Amino acid sequence: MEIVFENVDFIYQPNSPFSHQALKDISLTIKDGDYAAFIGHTGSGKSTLLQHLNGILRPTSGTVRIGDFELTTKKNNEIKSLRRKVGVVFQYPEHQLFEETVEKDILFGPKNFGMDVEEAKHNLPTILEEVGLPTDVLQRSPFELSGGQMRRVAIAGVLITEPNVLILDEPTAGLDPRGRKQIMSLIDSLHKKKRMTIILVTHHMEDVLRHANQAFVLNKGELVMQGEPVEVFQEEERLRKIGLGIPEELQLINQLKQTLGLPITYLHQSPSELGKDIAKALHAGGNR
Amino acid sequence: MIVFNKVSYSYDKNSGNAVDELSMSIEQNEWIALIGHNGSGKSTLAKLMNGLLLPTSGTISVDGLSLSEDTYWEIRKKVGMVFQNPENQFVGTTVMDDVAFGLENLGVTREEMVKRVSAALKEVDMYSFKDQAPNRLSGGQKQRVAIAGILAIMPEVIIFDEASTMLDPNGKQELLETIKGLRKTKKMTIVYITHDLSEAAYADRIIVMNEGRQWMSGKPREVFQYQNELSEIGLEIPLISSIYAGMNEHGVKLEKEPLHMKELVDQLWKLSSKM
Amino acid sequence: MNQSFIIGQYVPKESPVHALDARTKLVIVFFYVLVTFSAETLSSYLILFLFAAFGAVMSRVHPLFIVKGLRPIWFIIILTFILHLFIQRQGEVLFSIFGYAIYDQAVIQAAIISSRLFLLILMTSLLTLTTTPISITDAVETLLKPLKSIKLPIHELALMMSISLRFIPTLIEETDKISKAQASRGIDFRTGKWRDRLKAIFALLIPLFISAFKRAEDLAMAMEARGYRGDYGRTKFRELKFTSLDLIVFLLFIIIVIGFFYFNG
Repeated sequence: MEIVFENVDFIYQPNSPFSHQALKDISLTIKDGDYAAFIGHTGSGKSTLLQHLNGILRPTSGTVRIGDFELTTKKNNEIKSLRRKVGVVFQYPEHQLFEETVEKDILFGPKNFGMDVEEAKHNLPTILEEVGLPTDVLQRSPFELSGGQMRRVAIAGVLITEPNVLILDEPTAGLDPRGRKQIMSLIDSLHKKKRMTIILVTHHMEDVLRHANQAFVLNKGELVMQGEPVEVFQEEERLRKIGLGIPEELQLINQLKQTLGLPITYLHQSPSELGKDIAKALHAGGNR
Repeated sequence: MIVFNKVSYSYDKNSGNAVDELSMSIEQNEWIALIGHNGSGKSTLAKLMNGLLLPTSGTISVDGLSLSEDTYWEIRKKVGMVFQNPENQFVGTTVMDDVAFGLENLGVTREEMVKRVSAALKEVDMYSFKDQAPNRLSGGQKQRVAIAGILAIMPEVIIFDEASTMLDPNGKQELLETIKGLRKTKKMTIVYITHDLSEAAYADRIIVMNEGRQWMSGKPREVFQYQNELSEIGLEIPLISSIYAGMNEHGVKLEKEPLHMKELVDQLWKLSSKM
Repeated sequence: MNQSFIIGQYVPKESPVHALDARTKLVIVFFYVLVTFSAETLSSYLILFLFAAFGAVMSRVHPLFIVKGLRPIWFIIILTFILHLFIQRQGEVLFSIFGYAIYDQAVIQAAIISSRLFLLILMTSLLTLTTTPISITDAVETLLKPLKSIKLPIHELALMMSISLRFIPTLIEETDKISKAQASRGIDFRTGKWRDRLKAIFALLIPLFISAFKRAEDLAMAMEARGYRGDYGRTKFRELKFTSLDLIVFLLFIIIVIGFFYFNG
């Protein structure tokens, strides 16, 4: 499903002393099958923008199109079918669990969306495998699980409705490096194998560089940059001005270029490959 | 400053020990980074250090005082703690009230309190926020207020129990800068618990925990050399160390293992000017 | 988006009313309420009204704020007025509407009851508009201190109040987050059968309770780590100051009360 924003404004509590414009004239396109990343610090409007994607919020003015679905300032009754197609994994999604068993909690979405619950039940083992949970957790209470496992249960609860678009707001917050890696590679495989459109919100610039093919930079409610991550991160100065950094590997490449004149291009090398390239460039001698 | 002697702790009798026969010591004015994956026992360790938990077996002493039910009130005056969730440790309705909370508990006179609260807030650069309510502050700012609340009590040790985990990159930076600032002006022992090794790089010494035991201890440079072993226990060495490892394999040898980008670039510059 | 939700609607301003000790305000409002209930004559109401109006002006709170604060209860005031107008059947008939007689005593009674209500609410909102909730808590704690001797847990009660105040915005934010998350999982809080809606409420309340308990646990741990051990050996940072201003206001209030009883007959 293609996602298009056309001149979207969003104002919280319009016409009140507390009125606050969170989105200003946002126009953007996320193509079907994209892995898009949204960058911006707290209060930049990221969360507000995400909440437009499944109709939690509606634009104050402008249009949001998600596939055939059009979200305008007016109310729309088909919002449920939209929410089924656009899955959202909120920050710390484990906080939304509430059923007595993991199974019930995962099947909560399918029930609400009026899906065939038996069929969804049938898919449970596959989903569990995808998120990396053993099947014996199904009859346990979600609250007995570790934080990392609870998060996987929450993600499974979103995947079971077979969304076309998956939105993840800081899915790795609070996890240790191992947990982070596992979640990031889960997202990668959903993107590649299931051809899901992925929309990721993160503070980890490295993840944007490594995984996404589109980056959108928000600042004070405005879309200030967009493009391929490598291109966006070229503009180190501009990003710094709005309080954002660039991935460490790119910083290093830039610095080596400036101080030693080493010509190194970033081609998604692993850190040790990058080390190798730097070593090679050093041996070849910079142009100092 | 803090000495653990064969300390074990288990949350309930049927499960294993969260901390298992651990012996170690932390010196005065040392900045220790305590690292390990989730569930490695590092937070339990922190709670043992100021008597929020009492060991199942073994002994712990802080500043020469042995930890027991009779002494933990004394020990809590010496050991302050900043917790993971900035929201859930903010007791007061305003910044000032929150910083004063610990002092009120200790029965400090009001005159003295006013002085100490202002001084502590200035130290973490939050004085101008003194009348603010917590819901107006960022995560990093709340953690700085938490630090001020501890500084006001004038402890000898501050434990940061994954205090940066819930912060965004700016908040993390804020927290680290605050600690670095404190270290310049004060004598203070820091125990910094994290699973982010690039933050651990700032410490004097790293203690790696795994399965309730001390798995390794050493200077950051020493510890980061064990790239594969660390990744086996669920940790990841900083990117710069990985890049340097790759360079090293291809014949680039530097005088010392670089910890930060600046160190790497500076050393490469020196090296290439010799080449 | 939750910033509009202000408990007690405190309006920060620098005014003599704001500067008053919270205890002074609390005590005066308390006696004002008592006195208002015994008001019977027009002139005694006038005195009470003048005092309240004087307070409102001195508070420098924008009149619109006060009117807005009264908005939810205008309806009740008017309803009370109309009810009394029709129910009371004493005195002489003044006029009749739709063949229903309105008596002069009814008009007076209706006016008295509804102005009583109006004055009570005006004074209490004046208190909350000019006093932070935490100062009110402190005032309650100090005023009730004598009750400690009969083993009432005054300190704990006050601490509970202040922590509740501190966490109200947090919990509102949390509710907002969880309801959005559950809405994304297809829950509809507004329409549907009552059974579904009950389920929807559970999907909101259970996570909310769990997180509140987790917060409480964390908070208890943090308080303990900072040496909290109940009222034991505790001093207070917040200080209530009784100044000459408070004294003047008290004297003024006493004169008002004397005047009131004089005119009240």
